[in-house]
Amino acid sequence: MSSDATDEALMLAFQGGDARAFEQLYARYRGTLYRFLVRQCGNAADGEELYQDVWVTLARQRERWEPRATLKTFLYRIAHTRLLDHYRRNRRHRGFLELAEVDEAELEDSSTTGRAEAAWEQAALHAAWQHCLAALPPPQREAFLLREESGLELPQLAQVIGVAIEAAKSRLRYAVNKLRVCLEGQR
Amino acid sequence: MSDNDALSHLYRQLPAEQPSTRLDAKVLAAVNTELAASRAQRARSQRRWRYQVPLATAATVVLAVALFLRQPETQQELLSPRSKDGVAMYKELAREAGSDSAAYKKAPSTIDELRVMQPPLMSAPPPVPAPPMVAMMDLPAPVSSPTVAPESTNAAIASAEPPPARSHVPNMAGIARMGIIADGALPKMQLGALLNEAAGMPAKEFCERLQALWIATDAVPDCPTNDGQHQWPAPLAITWQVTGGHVQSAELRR
Repeated sequence: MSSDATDEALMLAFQGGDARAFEQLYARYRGTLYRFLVRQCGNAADGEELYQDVWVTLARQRERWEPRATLKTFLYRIAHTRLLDHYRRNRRHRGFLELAEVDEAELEDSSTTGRAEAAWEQAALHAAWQHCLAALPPPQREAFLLREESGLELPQLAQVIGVAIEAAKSRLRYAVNKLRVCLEGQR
Repeated sequence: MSDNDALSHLYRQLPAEQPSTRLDAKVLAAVNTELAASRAQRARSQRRWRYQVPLATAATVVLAVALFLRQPETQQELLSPRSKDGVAMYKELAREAGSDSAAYKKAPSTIDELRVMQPPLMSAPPPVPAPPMVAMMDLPAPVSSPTVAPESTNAAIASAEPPPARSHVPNMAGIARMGIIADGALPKMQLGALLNEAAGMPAKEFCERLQALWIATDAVPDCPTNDGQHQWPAPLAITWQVTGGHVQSAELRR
């Protein structure tokens, strides 16, 4: 199959048992999915475990995919579900499980804690992002990372995380504001 | 530049981590294993539909057809001695009559011989009507007792001629002990043989042989020999056509 084949064509071929089609799909999404999961989890070990789990789940559920849905939405929907399972196992992320009941006041407090006094420089950028992403409530972090890594539009993003478009937009707005404040505080 | 764009720009400056080659290899191996497992499962499923299901369907159809065809065949067997059971029954009957009897010596060994030969029970001169069932059961050795001609009981008693020591007339008590008469299988078998060779037989002879098969406790029906259609009541529900003093056709009423 040619390298410019659409995701959907590749997925149809994969449904028919074509392993090479899967390799092409994997090459397209390996980086973005990996960064999304590792940055969402906050540590590489959990992220890598979820990463592997998501791809195997995609292979198992390939018959359930229908061409009317984009593959990207299907893939990130699996990732979202696996993340939920991950947070259920690790109860400390209560907010991620209560997606519709986020206490914004509490989040405001958490987003402003732990400011570092390091100067804004290229070497410290990574550390600052890690810090600010970790400070975000998981639902807002997920919305932000999904937009940045997957490139999903708002309707598809809302579909992936299973909320209304307005709720997804609200999460994104909160995430952007808190990250901006956090990152400015890191300078 | 909006807040969103500025933040996105800043985010893009982060190093773009990639999964390690070890992780890539692990994922691809796991997915290939999954693919192989699903292929094997699909092959098993297809094999089942290709062989087992058609075979089971064919077996069911054959069984149903066989059962359907078997039913009328069984009815036919009751009316003619065409089965191996008929041969065995014949031999048993002859043995009861005596091992040195002509009937025993002439006993068929195959069903084909039985089909073409004259039924021995019908060839006894003169034809003897079977005694009533109750009487048969009470008599320890009815074969050795004097036989009674159907035409004239008094005359038979008056003549008082001793019967032959061993008769080829069937030992009805023995047959009754075997449980053959009880379900009517033997008379029906003999009747079937008689019907097979009825065409062209003198009407009188045919009717006398019919009388020999009469096992009911009722009186033996009359023997009409005139031309025309005649019939007997159950259990020998026979209808026959006589033309020119000979039987033209005979059949069992159903």
